[in-house]
Order: sequence, then structure tokens, then C-alpha cells
Amino acid sequence: MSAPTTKELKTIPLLTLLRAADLKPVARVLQERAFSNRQYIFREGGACAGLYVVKTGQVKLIQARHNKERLLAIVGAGESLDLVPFLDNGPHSLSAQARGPVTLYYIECKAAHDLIWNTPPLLAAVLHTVSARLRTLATLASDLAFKDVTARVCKILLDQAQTEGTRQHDGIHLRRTLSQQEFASLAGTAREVAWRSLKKLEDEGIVRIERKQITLLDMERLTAMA
Amino acid sequence: MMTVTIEDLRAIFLFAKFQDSELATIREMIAARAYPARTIIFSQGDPSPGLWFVQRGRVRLYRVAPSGREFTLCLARPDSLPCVGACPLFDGDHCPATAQALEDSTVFFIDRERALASAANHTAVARLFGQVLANHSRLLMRLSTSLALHCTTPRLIDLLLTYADERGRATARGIELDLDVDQQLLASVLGATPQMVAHDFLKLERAGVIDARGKHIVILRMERLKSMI
Repeated sequence: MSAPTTKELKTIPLLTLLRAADLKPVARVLQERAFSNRQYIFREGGACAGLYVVKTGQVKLIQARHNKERLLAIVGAGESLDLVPFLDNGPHSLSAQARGPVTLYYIECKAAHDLIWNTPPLLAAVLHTVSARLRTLATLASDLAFKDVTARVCKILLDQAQTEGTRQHDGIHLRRTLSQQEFASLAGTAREVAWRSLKKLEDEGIVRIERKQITLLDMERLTAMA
Repeated sequence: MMTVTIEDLRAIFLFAKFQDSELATIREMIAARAYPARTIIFSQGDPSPGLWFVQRGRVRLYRVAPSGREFTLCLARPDSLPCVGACPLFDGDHCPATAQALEDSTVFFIDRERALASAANHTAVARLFGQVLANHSRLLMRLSTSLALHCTTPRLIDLLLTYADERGRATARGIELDLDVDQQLLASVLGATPQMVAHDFLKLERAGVIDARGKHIVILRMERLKSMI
């Protein structure tokens, strides 16, 4: 791999605010690693494997409790995987698994730790990123406590509409990029329960489900139910 | 005005490994405040003025649904997860939860602007904030996963096992422990209603794995209880 350029490095959100002088030590230690579909990049509870940022492809972030696994998020290009170990020197707080072939930027653990704690703009970016994720986690936890499955399903559809939806004459079109299991896991429920909720929304004329797409027909009702 | 000593700071587990000189820097930013039981320290949606570290007592961090139902995110204490107000520290956005003193509490407050300025100049302060964020992240990840994967009964069992680990006493009957929360608060911690929690306690008693008298719990069959998760 040839050393990444400053322009390429600045496309990584964690590094956007670093000056050229700060980016040089990063470029020296940055590597690329490729993973194939379903391959684990690191596992929850394991010692810090290093700093990983997605270059291309997608990665599933998973947590387990008592032998059951749950999908926390699917992250894509530019997003980091697990920054928490760099803040408390603890183990990985989650597992990361490739979703399809994926290429990651990688910095070995100690080198990443030294860079983060000796480069103030990088430390600030890490603290901001973890802080933003903390806010998301607080919302996620209370959604799971307060909202029923249908409300959580509606919220996922609304979130997808914002990031990936395309407005057409009959509503917002969402490509079905998640498997049923992935969708259910994000909603914090079993596959059959999530599917029943989606079918109920279809029966009420709020969504239309097709093999490769879901159309959001009634955004107003969907929002009210979320 | 209350005086804050370095020993006071060391009583909070997050500060335990800091050097005296580092704690001296942090101490200069702190204002100690006393909150009687049930006082609201800050409310969900308020702008956030800073960070609070629980030095004595307990503070409950909770979110309120539009229906009025409450969900407890955590109980902050000096020996475990002592800090509240961490979320808005860096994004300056509103407080995502309400903090209330559960009992008479002493809390160390650090103003947000001073905290950020100090973190930029002192690695020890930045390290402290990093620890706080990491602490909360791990807790909330576990909490959301537990809520997603399990209904109330396994979550109640999980909580009883945690209490057993932290404060259980081995006796002839089994592992005895005393809950430090009432049923209303317990339900809030589990993301359930008091009726659901009462039903789950009854279920566990009927299974012969616990004996519950108010807040006093005896775990009669530990291995059987663990297998029910």
C-alpha cells in the first residue's frame, strides 16, 4: 500500500481537523487491511486490536449478552469501529464483523494510543465521536424501554428515509439493504415479531413491501407511530 | 462553601489512580454542592452547564417519556459510574436525561467552559473525561443490548446476580442481599412497570430460586437462577 495522501486522510472524519504536520505521523503508521464477508475484525472483550476506520464496505457492530447477539449498528466509509478502549485502556466493548468484503484503515493499538493522546485535535475528535455515540445510546436505551416494537420499526424506517430514501410520486422509496434478521436486531426484537409489525403497517396502508424495496406511503402516520 | 480535599476526590473511584499534582489541578475547578434527597440537579432538555461527580450519596439519571413514564439509565455513586452530565460536555447540546438526588448527596461540579479549557491544557483532565465517556458508553451499550435481547425476567435475574456479586452475603439459606431501591425505582431501572416486576418476583419465588421479603432477598438456588437467563 502506498502512503495515503493528506487529501485522502482528511476524508476520514476523525482526521479532518488535523493540520498537515499532525497528519504526517498518522500517515507513517496507517495501514490497510482487507476482510472478507462475515470475518471478525475483533471480538467483544478482547484486548484492543487497534484503531480501525472503514475505508470501503460495511461493518456490523455487535454485542452479546448471555449467549445472544444483537446488532448495534452497521457502519460505513469514514466511520471508526470502537474508540472506547483508547479512553480507558479496557477491552473492546463490542465485536466487529465484515458485512461483505471490506477494507479498513488500521493503526496498531499502541501507536494509535500514542497518536491520540499526543495529538490534541485527534483527541478532541475521538472525545466528540464517543460523546455523540453516547447520546445515541441513551436514546436507543430509552426507545427500547418506552416504545413497543411497532414504534421502533417505524423509527428505523424514518431514519432510513432520511439517510437513504428517494422521494418518488407515491412516497419515499427505501432499497431493502438489510436482511430481515438485521432489521429485527436493530429494532431489538425477533425476526418474526419485526415482520409482523411491518405487515401490520402494510395492512394499514402506511408502507408497501416489495422484494427489493419498501415504499413509505404515509409519512405523517409513520411519524405519529414512531 | 464546602472545602474539597484531595482525599475527597480519591473517594471517587475515577480519581483513585491520579497523582496528587493532577488532583490539585482538578480540585481548583471544583465547586462542592449539597443536594437533599429528591432534589432535581438538572432536567432533561436543559442546557448543560458542566459535569457533576457524586462524592457522597446516590444520584439517579433517568429519561421521561411523553406519557410520563420514567426509565432509569443509571444510579451514579462514588464507587461506580460517579459522573453525570457527560453527554453534553463536548457537543454543548441539551441534557438528554434528568438527574435527581436519591438521598442526601454531595456532588462536585465542574463548569463546562473551565472543564474544556482545562482538558485542552492538562492531559490528566482530558484523561478523566475520557474515562467518564468510556464508563458511560460501556454501561449504556450493555443496557441497550440487555433491553433488546431479554424480557423483564432475565433482566431482573441479571440485576439480582449483580447485586449478589457486589453485596451478597453467603448464609446457610443461600446468598442474602438487600436491595437499595424500592419496587417503583427497580421497575424504572429495568425499563418495566412495577406490576411486571412484581409478577417476575412471584415467578422466581414459585420456581423456588429466591425468597423475597420486601427489599431483603435470599437467592436459594444460585445455579438454577443463572440458568434461567
